[in-house]
Amino acid sequence: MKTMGQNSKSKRRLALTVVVVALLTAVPGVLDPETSYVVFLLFSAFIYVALAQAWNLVSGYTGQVSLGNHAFFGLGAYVIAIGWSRGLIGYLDPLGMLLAGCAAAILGILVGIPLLSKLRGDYFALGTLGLGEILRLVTIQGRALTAGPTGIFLPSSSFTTIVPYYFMALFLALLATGVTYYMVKSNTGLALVATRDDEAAAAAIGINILKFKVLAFAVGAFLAGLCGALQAYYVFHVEPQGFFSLSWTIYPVLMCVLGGVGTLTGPVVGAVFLTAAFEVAKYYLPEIHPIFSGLLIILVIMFLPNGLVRLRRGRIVRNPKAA
Amino acid sequence: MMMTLRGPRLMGLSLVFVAAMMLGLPTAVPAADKNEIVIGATLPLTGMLSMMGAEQKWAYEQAAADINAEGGIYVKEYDKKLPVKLIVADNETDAGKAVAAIERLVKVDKVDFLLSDSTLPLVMPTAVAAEKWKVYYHATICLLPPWQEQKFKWSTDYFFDGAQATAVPFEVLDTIPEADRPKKLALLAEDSTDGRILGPIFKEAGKQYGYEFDYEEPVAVGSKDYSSQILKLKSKGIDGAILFAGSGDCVTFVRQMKEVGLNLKYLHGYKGTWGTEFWNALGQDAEYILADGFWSETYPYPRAEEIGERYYQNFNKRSVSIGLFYALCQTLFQAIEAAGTLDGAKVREAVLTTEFKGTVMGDIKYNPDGTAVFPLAAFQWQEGLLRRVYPFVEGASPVLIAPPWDKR
Amino acid sequence: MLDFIPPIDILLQLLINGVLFGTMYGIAAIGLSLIFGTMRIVFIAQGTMIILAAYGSFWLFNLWSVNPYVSILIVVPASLIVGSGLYQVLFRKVAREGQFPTLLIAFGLMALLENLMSVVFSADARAIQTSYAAYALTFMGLKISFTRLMAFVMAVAGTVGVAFFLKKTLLGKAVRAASENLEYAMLVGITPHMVNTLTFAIGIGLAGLAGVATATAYAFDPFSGFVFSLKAMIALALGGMGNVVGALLGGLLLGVIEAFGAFFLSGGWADVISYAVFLLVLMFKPEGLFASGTSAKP
Repeated sequence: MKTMGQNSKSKRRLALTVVVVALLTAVPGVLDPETSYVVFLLFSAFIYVALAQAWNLVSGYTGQVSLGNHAFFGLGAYVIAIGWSRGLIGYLDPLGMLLAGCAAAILGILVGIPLLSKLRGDYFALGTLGLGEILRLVTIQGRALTAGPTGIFLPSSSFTTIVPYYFMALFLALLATGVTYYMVKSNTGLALVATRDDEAAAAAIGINILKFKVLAFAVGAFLAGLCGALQAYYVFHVEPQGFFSLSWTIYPVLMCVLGGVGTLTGPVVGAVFLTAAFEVAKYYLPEIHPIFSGLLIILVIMFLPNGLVRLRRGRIVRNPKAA
Repeated sequence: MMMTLRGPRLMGLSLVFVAAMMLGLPTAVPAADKNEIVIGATLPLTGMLSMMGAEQKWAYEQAAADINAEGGIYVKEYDKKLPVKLIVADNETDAGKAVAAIERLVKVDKVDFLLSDSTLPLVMPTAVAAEKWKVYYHATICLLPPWQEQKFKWSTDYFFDGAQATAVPFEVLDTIPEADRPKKLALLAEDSTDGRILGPIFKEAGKQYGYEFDYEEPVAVGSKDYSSQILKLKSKGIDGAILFAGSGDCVTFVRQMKEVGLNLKYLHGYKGTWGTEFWNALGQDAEYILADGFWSETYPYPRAEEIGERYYQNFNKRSVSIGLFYALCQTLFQAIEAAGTLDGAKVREAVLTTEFKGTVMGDIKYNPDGTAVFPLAAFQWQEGLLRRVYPFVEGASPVLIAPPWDKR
Repeated sequence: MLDFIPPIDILLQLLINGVLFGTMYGIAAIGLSLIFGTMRIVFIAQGTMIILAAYGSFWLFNLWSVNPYVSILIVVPASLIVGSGLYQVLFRKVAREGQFPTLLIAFGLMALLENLMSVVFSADARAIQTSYAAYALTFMGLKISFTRLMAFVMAVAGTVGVAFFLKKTLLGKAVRAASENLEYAMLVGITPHMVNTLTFAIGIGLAGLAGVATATAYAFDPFSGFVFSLKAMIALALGGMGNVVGALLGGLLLGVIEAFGAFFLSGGWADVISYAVFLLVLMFKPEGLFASGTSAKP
């Protein structure tokens, strides 16, 4: 597996990553974060990178299409909102965010075990889609705890500058990419890919499929929960429609697919590219731009199924009918 | 998992590409010499509320065009009249996108002021964003209590007063001879922020006027089947109701009311019954149903009729809301002139202290806490037209009792 | 909340309403079921296709005064053509690559259509306004909505038609063969693309039928399709994936659950209950509630 060529390649990749991260770290110092829109765009791009990576880990590497990113994202946001509004956690509290991530991960495990053990992918996608809808409806009915459809308002006077958000989002993006890298390189990753490519064979050689799938699902949920938590801190108003909006799933999926599913850099490229592209579309086509995100998904799948980062590679998922 | 070399290189390339795109975004006019007043608004131009957003955008544009036709707003600080430049950004009927859009209006377009978004779920988060970026936000269509609770320093809220708005049905009911009045009332408020807030206030108002609700229940948003609920109403002998719900839901509700054979002498709709689409969808079945409205072109105020007529010429339908948005612009423009500066804090101060005379909504006066109220109107569908039945100022029509379905 | 025990006629009325409403879910679920059965495509744009068809019927009525029930003759054939077109244009290339790309294409199609409709038709809620729009038949003291009854009749006719087609015609047998065993079907000379095209045509054709039923009986807007798809998915999960009759029964059951849920609790909780039932079924009985009795073959 490891040849000299690959070693130097990975070194070059590491060097490039360091340079890019260093440049990104310098951005708030160079551009005035209070007036520069670029800082905000990068902030949202980072969140999308993390979300896309979270989805990539579950769906790209295990081949299970999850449509429940927004469920975990919203849950993470609600943990922050409920905790902060009751004084249990503070403003931009890392512990609070950890709690939000863990809550999402626990839900991921609870839902993941039955869904992943009983069902092949077909049902899994539906189940996760239903999960987001259930959480949305439950928060609407949640009375005092979730403040119903109004949602919870957080003390917006805490806000002073976007800079800490920028770095936290950057950290989340790096964390998500790092975790994905680590999981893929480890035995876990090999098991995941083996499971994706041929579940029966993977089971035959003794891989505990369920364990790995649930693990990936929980880690993905954890990351999505963290993103939701940060977004909650940024918006200061957590309500069911916006935080359990399907677009928190659709956009990351699209970004991931555009960049390249099942690759490490794909979600990064896709997220950055699309954040910029949507921004431009919104500017020049204010009344019709949502049409394009739908069209883009279709076009990318049909003509660029393997994503930007690998223009030619093996098929993503084999025909599940065979399994 | 193997990766190709293309990955990192492409990543670098895309970063360059993105940087280029961002530079390509229109940059702000240098602030040194101000030659226009930039006013931004995020509106739901796409998605669920796009019709509302379009109406609002139209009214803003009319107000801006009208003031610019007079040469703009005189600003003392610059000792000249500055034209208004209106920039509207889409929020896709999504609170998160609205917040992002505000960020762009503030940072890219460098707006001096913000005009209201549409409805509470969008106005509240954008008010928070205005607070974050310290830009004055001239807001409306957001129920006052939740806005007041946040003690915002950079926005104001011009909307109806809950106590007045919820008293309207009872004021109207009082005009009906006692023998004809409905005997058993139901309160059906949508399961949303607005519905939850207004529900208890309706009850309170009812008590004050000596009416009691024999039945109350939240109405699910976007349900296609209300017949179970309607059956419940029928089994309890309800013959009058207040229905607070979106227009699609109101259409569904009224149709199923007829199917189940529930006869209501008086049905006062809020939010969902005033649109032309409501009449178009129901036709004769919409007759006798009441609707709320922010404004009426029959108001005896300057330009009200003219604005209403202009809207009619453009869209071939009537509106009971554009006047509110037009008046919102009028007060902002007057406040800017009164403040003599484009400083947000000072203009907000001017909004709070100026007595606005003769807008299309009448005279407007803000309270020290940043709120201002207008009376909510009530209309009744009579022969395909919305006739104003409340407030009882000149031009109002008497309310009619709805006959049973089989007697129509 | 249960402050009175409802008399029997109310219970009956609820049951009827639930069944009549559930047929809408059922008819949407049958299309999904067929498409899923043959191609393993989770076509979540089905609800949006139904709304598109509803608009078709709406505009035919509004512009050319075509009676909505007559518009079936235009909308359903058009849907059949659109369905086969959809397969040929969007899914043919990726149909055999598993559910990953197909699911995303369906997703993209939904987003595209929703926004396209809201731009072209506006986001206003629409409903067809006819003399019989809110007419109800009275039968032994029970009120039965005429348009819903018609929707029910259309759903049953659609189901019977599809079942008959699958059982009695050569092409139908091919579809069934393909959904049971693709390799075998290929051995006996059936091209998968032909079968897939046909299945898609029928699936979207049913969406057309459901669209006309929606347009006549309910109010709709461009965004109501998504909830429709979700509910149809629930019906499908209740009935068992790839099971035509089960899908219809699943829809009826869901309709009844919602009708009773809305009566005894409230409208908001009715939805929570239906999704909870959905998740529970997916978790613990993924083969569907009617799997044993009716089996996967109609």
